[in-house]
Amino acid sequence: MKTEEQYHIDWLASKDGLLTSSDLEALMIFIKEHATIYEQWLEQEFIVSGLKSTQWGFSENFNLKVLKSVRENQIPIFDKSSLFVVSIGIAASLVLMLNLFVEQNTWGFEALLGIADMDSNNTNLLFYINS
Amino acid sequence: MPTVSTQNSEQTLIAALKRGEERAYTEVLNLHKQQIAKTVIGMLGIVPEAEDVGQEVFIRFFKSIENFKGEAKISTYLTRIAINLSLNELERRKRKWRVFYSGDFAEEKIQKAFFTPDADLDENVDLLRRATLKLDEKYRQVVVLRATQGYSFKEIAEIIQLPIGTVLTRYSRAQKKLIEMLNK
Repeated sequence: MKTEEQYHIDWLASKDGLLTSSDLEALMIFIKEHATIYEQWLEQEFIVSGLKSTQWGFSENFNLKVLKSVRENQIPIFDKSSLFVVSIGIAASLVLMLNLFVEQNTWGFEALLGIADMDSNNTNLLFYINS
Repeated sequence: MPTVSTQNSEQTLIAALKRGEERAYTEVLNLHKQQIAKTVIGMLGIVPEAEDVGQEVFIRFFKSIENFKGEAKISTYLTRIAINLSLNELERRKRKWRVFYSGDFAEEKIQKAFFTPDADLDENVDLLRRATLKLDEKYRQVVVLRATQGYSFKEIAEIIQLPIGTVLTRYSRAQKKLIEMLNK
């Protein structure tokens, strides 16, 4: 035996054609026998359907705001050409570093600064740069 | 069920979106922003955050367009994003208010803070709208989708990804709760 709520659900389903013929038949019998309940369903459906009349919208510049944000997201930080330039730069730095290490015959941090072969008698950096 | 012609025009639109044509972006916005506004404002009330959530709906859709296979209609997909983002916003709102208030008192405060009257609406409809905002989110979303937007129960089930029986039960209970609130 179905409850009133189950019949109400069936009635809602019947509006979208979701009910089987046997369930629809049982619903029709229930409605015939419970006219007051059916009137209540109709009334509450009518009241709630009032929400359809709402006409909300967003501000006038809504489209512009969305499009601006989409455009900002589309600009890649590293596109292909800038990636190429960065790669060349990194490769050049590596070659220069290697050159420094080989020339000074050591792998230390001082070699990276170019002062690994500094003479302890002359610590003036300009002397080495000029020579 | 989308017709063949609407399916074709949606596919053309999706292809244009994937090519990054701005005309296609504008078309999607013009076609669907009213419907998204009704969903988001229906869920959140008339609050400034509704516009931010609305923008985020479209931004997310455009960002994920490469992964959009067109299995669902654009409107269904957008509404699903709108419902999920609205639920996130409601959760964020609750968390924020719970810092200051607790339990039922917090719920009451949240509801009072977001009950901005809509002067453009008929008084009875505005009462109904405000009663909708008092409903639990699981009931509110089916009311917004069915009564405000006019979606079929099958479409609602697809949007909120629940069985159709659950959607029907929730809508039936939501209707009763709304009438009870209006009669108080």
